[in-house]
Amino acid sequence: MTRLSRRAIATYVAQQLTTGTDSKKVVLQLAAYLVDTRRTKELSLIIRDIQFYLSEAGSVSGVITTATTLTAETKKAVEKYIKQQTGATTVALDSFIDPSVIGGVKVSIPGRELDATVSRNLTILKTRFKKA
Amino acid sequence: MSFISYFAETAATPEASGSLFSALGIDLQLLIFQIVAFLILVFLLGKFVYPWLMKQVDERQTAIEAAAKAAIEAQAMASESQEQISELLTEARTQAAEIVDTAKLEASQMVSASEERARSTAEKITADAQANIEKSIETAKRELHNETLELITLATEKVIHTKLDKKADAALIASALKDAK
Amino acid sequence: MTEISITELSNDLRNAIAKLETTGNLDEVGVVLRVGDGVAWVRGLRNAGFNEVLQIETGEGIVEAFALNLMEDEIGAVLLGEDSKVKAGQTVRLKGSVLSVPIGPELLGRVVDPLGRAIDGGPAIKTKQQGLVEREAIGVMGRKSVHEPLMTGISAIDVMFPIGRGQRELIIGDRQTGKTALAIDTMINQGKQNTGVVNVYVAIGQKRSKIARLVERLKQEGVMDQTIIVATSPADPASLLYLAPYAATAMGEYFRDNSQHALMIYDDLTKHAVAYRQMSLLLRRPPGREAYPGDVFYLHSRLLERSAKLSDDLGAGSLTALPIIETQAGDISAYIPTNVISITDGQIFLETDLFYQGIRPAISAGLSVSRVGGAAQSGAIKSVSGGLKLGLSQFRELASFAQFGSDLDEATKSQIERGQRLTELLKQHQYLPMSVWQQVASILAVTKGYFDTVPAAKIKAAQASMLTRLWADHKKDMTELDKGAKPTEEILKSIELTALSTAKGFEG
Repeated sequence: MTRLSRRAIATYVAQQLTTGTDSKKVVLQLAAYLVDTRRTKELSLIIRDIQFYLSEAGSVSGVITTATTLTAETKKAVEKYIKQQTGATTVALDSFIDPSVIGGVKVSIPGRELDATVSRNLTILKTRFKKA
Repeated sequence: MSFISYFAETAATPEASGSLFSALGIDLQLLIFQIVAFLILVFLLGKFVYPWLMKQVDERQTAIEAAAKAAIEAQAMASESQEQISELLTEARTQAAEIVDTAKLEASQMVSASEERARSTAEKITADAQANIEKSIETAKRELHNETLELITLATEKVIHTKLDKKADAALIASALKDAK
Repeated sequence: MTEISITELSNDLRNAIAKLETTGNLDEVGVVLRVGDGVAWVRGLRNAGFNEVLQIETGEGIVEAFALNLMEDEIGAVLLGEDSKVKAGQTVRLKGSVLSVPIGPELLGRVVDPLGRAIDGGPAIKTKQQGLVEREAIGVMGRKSVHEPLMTGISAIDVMFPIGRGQRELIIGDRQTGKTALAIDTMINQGKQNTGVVNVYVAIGQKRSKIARLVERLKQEGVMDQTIIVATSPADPASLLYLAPYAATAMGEYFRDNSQHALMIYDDLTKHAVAYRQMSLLLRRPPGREAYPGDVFYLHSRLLERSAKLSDDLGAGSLTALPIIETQAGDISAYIPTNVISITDGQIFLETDLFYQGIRPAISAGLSVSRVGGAAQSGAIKSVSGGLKLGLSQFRELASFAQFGSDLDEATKSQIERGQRLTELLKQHQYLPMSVWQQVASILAVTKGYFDTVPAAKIKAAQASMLTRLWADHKKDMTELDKGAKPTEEILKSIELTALSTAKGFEG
């Protein structure tokens, strides 16, 4: 049997989920395939790819990273922004607190990222303007 | 020998031969005898001795003439060779002079070329030294710039960490979202 | 500027802070999956194009890479810097452009790396334009046939295997046979004869000490001002060795496209092929003959095809190429040498045997060829080349009989002696290129028999002497001859007289 690429697997799974197939069934199918072909190590990559195809189908999921706890207002603003940029119908965001970003926000969605954190700006200042 | 004694007898009786000759004291018979003897001698000389002698003399003459001619020719050739030699010598001298001139020219050109090279090397060394100084200054400037950037970043990090509160952070995020495309 | 001004420094820093954009965009990003041996495998970035530049954000700055393997699930990107700074999990963004290098006259006199960064310790290179590293070659209608000579200053080449502007002539030989020396002499000659040709020397995997010596020598000869050196050493990553000739060609193309003439020297393409092989094997591309990838021919053909003579409509500029290939034990039928021989417009073959016999440049007259030939020769040189080629070919036929010395007839002996004189005449010291009039006068002196009384061992001395006298006594005639037109009767006469009188001083 030829090796299915991650893209092919992810496309199939995303398609199944968007057309309303029972998610439990799809998950079991995927798990069985991965175990059978000994590709369980690629699980996280495949999940990311599935998220990508789901976002293309209109269901965006992502992570917001901030230095301090996210307010509800901010979360709403980010969701609005993402809907605007990607034309998504549903947005599901997880929140992640990372004090090392110092301030600002980092929005990571499948395949794209907005990094407006203070730490990144400082890194850019430190590195991009260095004289070679 | 009878005729000799005959003449001797005749000579002994002078008056019977003539009065002129006896007056002169010439013995006619003796005279005729001597004339005949002389003629015989001349004849013999002329037939045997004289031609051989003349031949020898002629040969001698020819030899002398030939030798003289050869001498003259040799003389002429010698003077001609002399001319040629002097011509060749002149030419050789001219060429030698030319070769020496060329050598001198090449030498002087080499000298001026090496002078030129030495001068340009000296100039180059000075220019290189100058360039090296400028390079080290540029490097120092660069390092100072980079070091200062690092320090600025560190300072900013420290300050913002302590100063940034929730409200300011929220405002920061809001403005970032507004400007983001 | 010989002082450090604090005001200037602080202004620089203030500008940097002002330029800092505190906002970002929702950019397409990828993630480094794994990195090693100069290759980073990236996940994501589905819109990345072939050869597009990727920027990997490390903690110490941005490391650039270019995408060479676009596969279904990941991208194989070759790093353009140290792979020690890149770690798995780092974010990768698209730069938005394919590889380009700075191009323009600001590069003249500088030593740069294949990305256009200065490595000679001087100020950073700032040019007004950028040129694409990978670029399509000019089409058929945009070209003109090669008709102008590119004088190398080496008699053997200019007379027998002339190189024209826009030609590709391969220099091929074993190690230590004088390949780079030929190239350097050609560069020096462009300066000495004020031809206006810009030299671009690409050092592919050459020792840094060798490059430093070369820069010194070019500065000494006053040619560095019209030379660009693109240098990579064996310590540089294979990606830089791979890019070096293409980047340098982009720099040379600037001059070609602006109605000027440029000379590219690729030293050497064997190391280039080896670097490409390394990269291809690490990118998991299938190996072919001698483990080279299947497109190793295309690697060199697309590079050399960019060297051309442009038509008058496009400015009549030219880009001449002198690629160098190193053979092993004189084997020119190996894979890479045969590839490049079939691409170029001729080759100059240097033999180790000739080199050790003292014939330097060690050019093999039998195996070398120039496919452009007389079309790229000036009238003056053309007028003497026939005699020289004939004399040498006759000598080659009889060379094996030279040992018989006194057993040969007069005609054969004189041909052998003539050939020996010609061979001696064509020897040339390094860094002493000859101008047109010097070459014409020297060859006429031997082919017309003016030097027949000079033994072969004294030919060089006689030549030097004759040239000095010609320049001293007939400067006007020689200047006229140097312009390249066929020599007039008057000029021929002055050469004859000077040669004959010089010969007398060197008679054996």
